[in-house]
Amino acid sequence: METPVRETDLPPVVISGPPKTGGLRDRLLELLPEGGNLNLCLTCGLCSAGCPATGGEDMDPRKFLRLVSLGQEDEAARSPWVWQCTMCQRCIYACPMSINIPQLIYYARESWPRDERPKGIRGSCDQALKTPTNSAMGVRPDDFTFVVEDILDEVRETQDACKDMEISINREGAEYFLNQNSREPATEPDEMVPLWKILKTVGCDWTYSDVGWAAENYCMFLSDDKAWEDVVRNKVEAVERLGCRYWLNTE
Amino acid sequence: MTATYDALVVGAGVAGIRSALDLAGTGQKVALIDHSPHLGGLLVQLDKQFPTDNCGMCKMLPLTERESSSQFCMRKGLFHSNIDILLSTRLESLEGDPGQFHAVLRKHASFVDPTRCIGCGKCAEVCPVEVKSEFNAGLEARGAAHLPVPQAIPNHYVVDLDNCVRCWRCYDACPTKAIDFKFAERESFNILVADPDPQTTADLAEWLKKQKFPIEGPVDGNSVLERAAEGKDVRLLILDMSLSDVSPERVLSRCLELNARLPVILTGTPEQAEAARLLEQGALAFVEKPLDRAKFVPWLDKLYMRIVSDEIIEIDAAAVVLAGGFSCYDPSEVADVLGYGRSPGVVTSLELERLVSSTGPKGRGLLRPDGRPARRIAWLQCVGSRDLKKKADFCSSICCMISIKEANMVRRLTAEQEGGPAETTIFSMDLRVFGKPFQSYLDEAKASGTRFIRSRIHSIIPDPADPGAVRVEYLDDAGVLQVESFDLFVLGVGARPPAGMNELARAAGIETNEWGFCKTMPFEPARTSRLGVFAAGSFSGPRDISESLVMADAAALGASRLVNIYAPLRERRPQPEPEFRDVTRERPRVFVAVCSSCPMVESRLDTDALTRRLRAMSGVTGVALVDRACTSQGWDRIIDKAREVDPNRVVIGACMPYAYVPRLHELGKALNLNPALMDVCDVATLTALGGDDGEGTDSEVFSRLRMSVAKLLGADPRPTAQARPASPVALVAGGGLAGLTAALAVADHGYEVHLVEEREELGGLAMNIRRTLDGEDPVKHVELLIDQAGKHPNIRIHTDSRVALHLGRAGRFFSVVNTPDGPVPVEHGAAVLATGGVESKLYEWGFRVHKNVMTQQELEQRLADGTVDTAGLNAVAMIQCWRSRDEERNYCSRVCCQQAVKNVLELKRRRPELPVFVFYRDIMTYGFMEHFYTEARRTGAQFIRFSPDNPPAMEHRDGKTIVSAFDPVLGRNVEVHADLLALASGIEPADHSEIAEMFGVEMDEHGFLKEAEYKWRPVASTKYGVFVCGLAKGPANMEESIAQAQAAAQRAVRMLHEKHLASGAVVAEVRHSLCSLCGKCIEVCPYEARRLSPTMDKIQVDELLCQGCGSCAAVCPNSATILRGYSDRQVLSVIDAALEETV
Repeated sequence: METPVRETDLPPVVISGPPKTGGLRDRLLELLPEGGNLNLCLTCGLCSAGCPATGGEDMDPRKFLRLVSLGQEDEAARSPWVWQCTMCQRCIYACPMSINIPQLIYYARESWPRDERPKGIRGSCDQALKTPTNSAMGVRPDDFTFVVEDILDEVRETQDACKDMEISINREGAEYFLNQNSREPATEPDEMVPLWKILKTVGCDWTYSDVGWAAENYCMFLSDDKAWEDVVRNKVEAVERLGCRYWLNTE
Repeated sequence: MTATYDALVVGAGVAGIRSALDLAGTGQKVALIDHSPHLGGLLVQLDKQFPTDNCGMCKMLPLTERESSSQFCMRKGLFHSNIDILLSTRLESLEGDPGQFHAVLRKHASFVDPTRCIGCGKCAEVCPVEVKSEFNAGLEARGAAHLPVPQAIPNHYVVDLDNCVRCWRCYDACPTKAIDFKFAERESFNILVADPDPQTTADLAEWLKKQKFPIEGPVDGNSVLERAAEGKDVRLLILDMSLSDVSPERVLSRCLELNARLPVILTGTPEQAEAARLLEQGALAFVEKPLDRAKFVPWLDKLYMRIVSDEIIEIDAAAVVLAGGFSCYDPSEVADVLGYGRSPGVVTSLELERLVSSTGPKGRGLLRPDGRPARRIAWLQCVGSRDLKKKADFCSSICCMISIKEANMVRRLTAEQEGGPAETTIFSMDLRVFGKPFQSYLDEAKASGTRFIRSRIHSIIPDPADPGAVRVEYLDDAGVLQVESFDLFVLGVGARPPAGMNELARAAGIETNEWGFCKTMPFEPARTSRLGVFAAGSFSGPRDISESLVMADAAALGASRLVNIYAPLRERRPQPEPEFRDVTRERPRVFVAVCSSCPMVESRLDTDALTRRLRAMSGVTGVALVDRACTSQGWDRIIDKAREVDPNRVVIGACMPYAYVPRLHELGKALNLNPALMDVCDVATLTALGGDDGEGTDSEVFSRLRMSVAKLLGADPRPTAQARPASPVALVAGGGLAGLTAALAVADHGYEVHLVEEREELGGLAMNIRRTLDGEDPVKHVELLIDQAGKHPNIRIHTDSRVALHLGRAGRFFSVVNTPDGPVPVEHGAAVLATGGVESKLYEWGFRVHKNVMTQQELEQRLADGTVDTAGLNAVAMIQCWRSRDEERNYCSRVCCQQAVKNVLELKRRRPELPVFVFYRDIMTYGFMEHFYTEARRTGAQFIRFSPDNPPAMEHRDGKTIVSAFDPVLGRNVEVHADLLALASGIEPADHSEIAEMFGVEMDEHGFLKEAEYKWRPVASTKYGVFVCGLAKGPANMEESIAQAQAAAQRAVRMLHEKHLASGAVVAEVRHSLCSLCGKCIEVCPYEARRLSPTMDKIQVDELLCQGCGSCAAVCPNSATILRGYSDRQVLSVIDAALEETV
């Protein structure tokens, strides 16, 4: 037996004519160079073998792509699996045909009505939009400043090597503008310290800002283009306000 | 001086060797060169090949005229009287036109004098350098002084100058002073410095004091020119770009005009970019100033060694064959995902070959990196193939079979281990088993327990639970993610153009294709873009051995055709056959000559005592010590001394016995004595290896010479069989593409050809094909061939005719052709069977009942003639492997997937939105055809794999065919409501039973004509003198059929060229009175030289086919089979001589 035949209740995919136009697939074919190479799939399974979301919702990247290729794009896009993708890009990184599966997933997510998209992601995006820090956890500017200073004091006191450590917030003209995932200041503040030490060791000239410092961007994961843009713009403005040369994003 | 050859063959791997042997076999002089220091190319590293699981390279050696060539294992080496082999040699330039090429070759020095090297290895022991060993695929280190391959004969150490650190330790360690680093010549290596800055000269004089190079300078441009004009001795010119009185360009070009080989080094600031342009005009190198002493001095010293020891060889040749082979993809660039170079348990397929070889890296073997036995071994296919990202939109064609073979090797090697053979798993996409015997090979591998999983692997990581192993995740065939650990993970690396391809292409003036391999011409698979230059083997694309040899034959044929225009082979006077006297009735008189100047003889051998002891032997009539037997003066002395005693047996004690084979022929002529009554015995190795004090050397050498004397005393002195005259005519059966191609190729060599076609028209199956995958027009090509054949003065065409009778043996056949005008008798020396194949007939599944069901070939025709209206179609389905690769017909028809892809592209060109579904088992678009499969997918056509135990189901409803199949990717059925269904029917052999019986050739299990040996003799039938090609031999596309036809023609020409066919001196005979007709000898004969007589009462030996291997004599229970030259009595007396107490 070469191929174990699995019992399946799913109805067959029926092909009786040219696929309908104007769907997800066409959008990809139009927008990406070479159509994101969508048609080139060798069905080799490499993407699915390397995908952290394989197996969830009985779906994997190869199967997802196959559904789209066979014109079953509505079924594919409707699968809750699209929300399990982490956008890590491991698939396209190793795909011998450079097929842009993450982009396909992005468009599939977009096809969901906003209020039906997963609450967690949506909530995080909304939260980020509400605060000038863009923190998905709602950390406010003054909270952030307090936590950073508090941890800095503690480190200076307890660690000899850090006695003279300086952290600046809102310092204009620093070379680097450092972003920080808001999970750290909100729940694991000690986790910020290792990076500080590295930056100190290499003699980096950097600063935090009390706004636009949150590195995460759930609006991207939500496939909400407008909100994603708003968040990025706010962060860029924060960088430009301080006149930093580099924006160091840790996400 | 310029040497003149008929052909130059570049690359001495199997393809180059085969081309060279082909040409040499038709009396052409060949120069065979290779850039590496050994023969055999990649094959020296591979112990076994698929699908035979053994080696068999020696089967390429000539079967007749055997004495012109060496007759031993080809992994060790090759000698042929018509082939000059130049190793460590590259082609630098190729000027001129077809028929009169002028080639410049550069032979890199090995710095070891082969006449002095005794292979003791002391140089390698002391060498401090450690670089990756090429032979063991980098799995162990070698020194700069090293032995390139362990098995070569003769085998000398070489110094690899690029990696040498110039410590000279090997020079001091060599006991025979074989290593020459050109110390003495340094003092006469005049270096002229033309640099306005006097500091440069002063620096160089100081820095190079130890090297003892005479430095002269600084001089200005005018004085350089003066010196050059006077022809004063300058060995190297250092020319600075800031020279002002004469421009550096002018100095350079004038100097090179006067002495084209003057080495010139340019110096200058980095900004002096014009230097780069000058480099192209012939300067050796550009060195940036300021000069860095630590780098410049060793660099210059190495350059000096190259200049004084490299040899520039100029040759004239009528034609050139390029057989540069291929290289393996280096997976280091994907180390981040596949772990190669990071996890030691990840190896390439070539490395695995070395790990399981008996000559593999010391202390490795089939072990995990932590030293435990490797019990779980996996292979991953398509590493560096079928991958757009790696610019490899092609299939490497050979890796699937290599991995299956390696799995077999591993299972055999580990069969005795506790727990049975190791677990073997192959991860792949399509399994490309498109060669005729490959499907059965795959089936056997599956049956023996190798697991095949259809998944490429994303990443290979160290196993967190077992650091000696690696871990992968993959989708199983049911689409479920699995995690598994393996002890070794083998990357089936794809093919790439050979290293140095660009330089070779530039030197040879040929174009490359978009993947960097040699570009070839449509319908001329061996022709490169340059007339008179041909491509052999895998130089024009990845191929297995069998196909490489076909391409080598085809390339040789192209070269030979060209050579023949300038110096017709038929008109060449053959070497007069020497007549030897009959010494049967004479008492043996043995003459023994011992070379006294082999490196260690003088110090370790008591030559007086040896002479005395040899003289005392019965039958020995003369003994002579000869100085430098390897030189022609030394050889003349042997002849003189031998004439004095008039011997009828001759033993020569010297070095390198194999090198003396052509010399023995000279001696035979001089003494009028058959060389079969002569023997060369290696005394040099014995003296070299006999312990440090040489104790025991005397008796060892004496014992060895005594064995040779005993062997000759027992030799059968009867003259060897008389040569049979060959008839210079060929018969070609079949007038399709292959038959026409073969007939024209033979006829162009001046031989008469009878072309016999059953049907009324020539052309065959190719006339049904409208277009090749590359867009060429086959019908036009075949019509051209028909026209050429019709006009050819040497071709007689018999259409509507059949061969009715065929008798005789190779070289002299007699056939009768029944033509509409009556029977025509033909006497011919060789036959080519190109009797073709047929598209399989389909009867089931609505074929011939429903109008919308047709074969792929019909679809092509109907698309071409407009009887299929693509505008009215809603969906098209295609089913591949409809009648191939099942129990009934267990081979891949090769052409169907190409045909399907071609039809897909045409349908999609006309109707891009039309759904086209191809149901397949494995898409077999091997080689560069993969590109068209990629393009077919790019159009949006869908390819759905089915398993043979669950084929697509069909239902005809309302003029449509509903094809329903399980898609393993989705895990559910796909149903295509097709207006049109195309079935790949496959290729079947024509009915060959009559022709096979008449010509006495065998058919394989499928009904195709069987090759004598699939791998090494791919166009020879099982009957000597009868060759097979095209679809008669097995499924093939047009290019492949053409190459096979040219190969078959090449073999036929080789046979017709031999005005006399003579067997070798060592052949088997049967003493019929002792024979019990048990037939064991017939089974073991690897050359099919034995058969039961038609009267069923005798075992017959075809002495042309018999190669004297002795397998028959070994299995014969009654000693009824004897090997001439190896009688029992003779062999026993040799053993006695070896064991006899030394007095």
